Amino acid sequence: MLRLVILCLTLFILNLMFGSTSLSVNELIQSPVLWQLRLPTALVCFLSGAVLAQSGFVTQSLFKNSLATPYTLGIASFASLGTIIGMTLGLEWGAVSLLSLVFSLGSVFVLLLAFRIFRYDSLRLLLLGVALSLFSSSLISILQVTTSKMDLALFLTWVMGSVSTVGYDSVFVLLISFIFLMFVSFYYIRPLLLLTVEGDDSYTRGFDPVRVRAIFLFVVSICVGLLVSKLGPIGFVGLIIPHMTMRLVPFRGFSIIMGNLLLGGSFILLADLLNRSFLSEFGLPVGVLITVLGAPTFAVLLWKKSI
Amino acid sequence: MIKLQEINAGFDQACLQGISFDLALNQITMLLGTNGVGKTCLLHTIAGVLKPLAGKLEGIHSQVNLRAADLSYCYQTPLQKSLIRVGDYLKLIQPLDKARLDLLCDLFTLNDLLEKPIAKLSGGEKQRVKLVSCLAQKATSMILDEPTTALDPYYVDQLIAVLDKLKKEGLSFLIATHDLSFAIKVGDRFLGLKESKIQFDSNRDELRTHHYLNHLFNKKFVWLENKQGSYVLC
Repeated sequence: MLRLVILCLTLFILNLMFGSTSLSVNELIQSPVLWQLRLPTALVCFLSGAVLAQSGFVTQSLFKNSLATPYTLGIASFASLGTIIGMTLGLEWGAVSLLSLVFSLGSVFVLLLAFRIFRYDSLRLLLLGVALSLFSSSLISILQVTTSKMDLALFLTWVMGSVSTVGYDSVFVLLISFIFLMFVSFYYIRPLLLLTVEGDDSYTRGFDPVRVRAIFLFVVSICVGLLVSKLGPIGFVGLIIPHMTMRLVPFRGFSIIMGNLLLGGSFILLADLLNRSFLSEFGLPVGVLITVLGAPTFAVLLWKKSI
Repeated sequence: MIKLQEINAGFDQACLQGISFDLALNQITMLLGTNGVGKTCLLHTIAGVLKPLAGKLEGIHSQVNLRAADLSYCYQTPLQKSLIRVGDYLKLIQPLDKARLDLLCDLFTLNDLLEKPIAKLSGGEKQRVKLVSCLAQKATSMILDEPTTALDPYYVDQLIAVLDKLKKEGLSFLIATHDLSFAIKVGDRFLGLKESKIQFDSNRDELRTHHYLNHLFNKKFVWLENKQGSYVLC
């Protein structure tokens, strides 16, 4: 655990120190580059990584399936669809976020209803999630082609997942979803851990599994909805980080949540650091680098039979 | 005391109709019947997994957070492939009887498994962990669905000893099983389910003399008495 804290702190500080313009420490402290650009970006990286990793852990635990993440379940895709519709209509950012939230909540409603109809079969639910994802992606493509209002460059940066245009308003929004998710995760940690082991028949352990699942999905959809509307769909973190955490820290309430936060945060901080230090001239969105780093890591985990 | 009155139970349509009985303290009740007759369906209904389609269920708190003190349910589904360690899993049980948990860990030799992730356990080991997690919960009644599945004969004997001990401490049990030798060894009362109704409700002697099992399972059973005065079925 201590090692993860040190890793995360180091990456955070490195993120503040390095970037496209190199400055000495003294210059940096007085420079607006640090306070107006690098600090909010680093905070957003950490918070989004933490939220995505913990959301992934929650959904994987609730559905007892390593593939169940907000992305594979279609929650993030619906949030994207909402955001894109908002962008197409030329709405203010607040309204865009709201639309993204409404869409992600809508998808959760569909998922919960379907899970009941499917008699709590996770595999069928995941298949439905894939269908939802593909459906919303195709709608996004249609919107993209048929409307002339959308700024294509902005769209492309957003759709790949970017932290380059963020400011303190993003930090604020992410901080709220972070605190919200942490609060619920700690409060319901016993049911969540029990649900990783027991079936949906565990009605005599002092909690209602259906209710706990609905609460968690509701919270995850709010967090992911806000995150997507701000940063775009950043995949893979929710898929791979929980697997790495489970192998690095003991599977207990406090350590598993902290592990997800630190490792998820570190992962996006690292991706952003590499992006800005070595690839700054291309102006790539960080989401691309996350997938470039994430996919091989995932393959290695599979190879080593850790999943 | 858990009391069922004219319960209709089922997933969508009623597979059981007009089920009435109560679970007395200090008693082990065995639920017998062929595959698919609705044993699990009835247990699910009592545990609150399914809502009764009709009838009244008394003696179990309707609030789910208080139900844990009334009832512990060892359902049939095996434990999932979680990476949580056995010891950490058992610590999640609430309300927990710590002294009983220690005793159960000794009887089912779980002490060597406490550091192992559940995903790495064998089928029988998982079943032992599941039984211990259920029996260690401080509840007045316990429902066990096919508890002897995948258990070594040694652990079946340990289970019988534990059930006997807990029964004397005042707990009541409802156990659905196909393991008839286990059933007649440990059961005080036998309920036979057939054609969506309770066909018989008897003690051990009536079960033997009335040949209830022959009718229930369409098979001729022979009851052999051993030197200790208990019976073996074949």
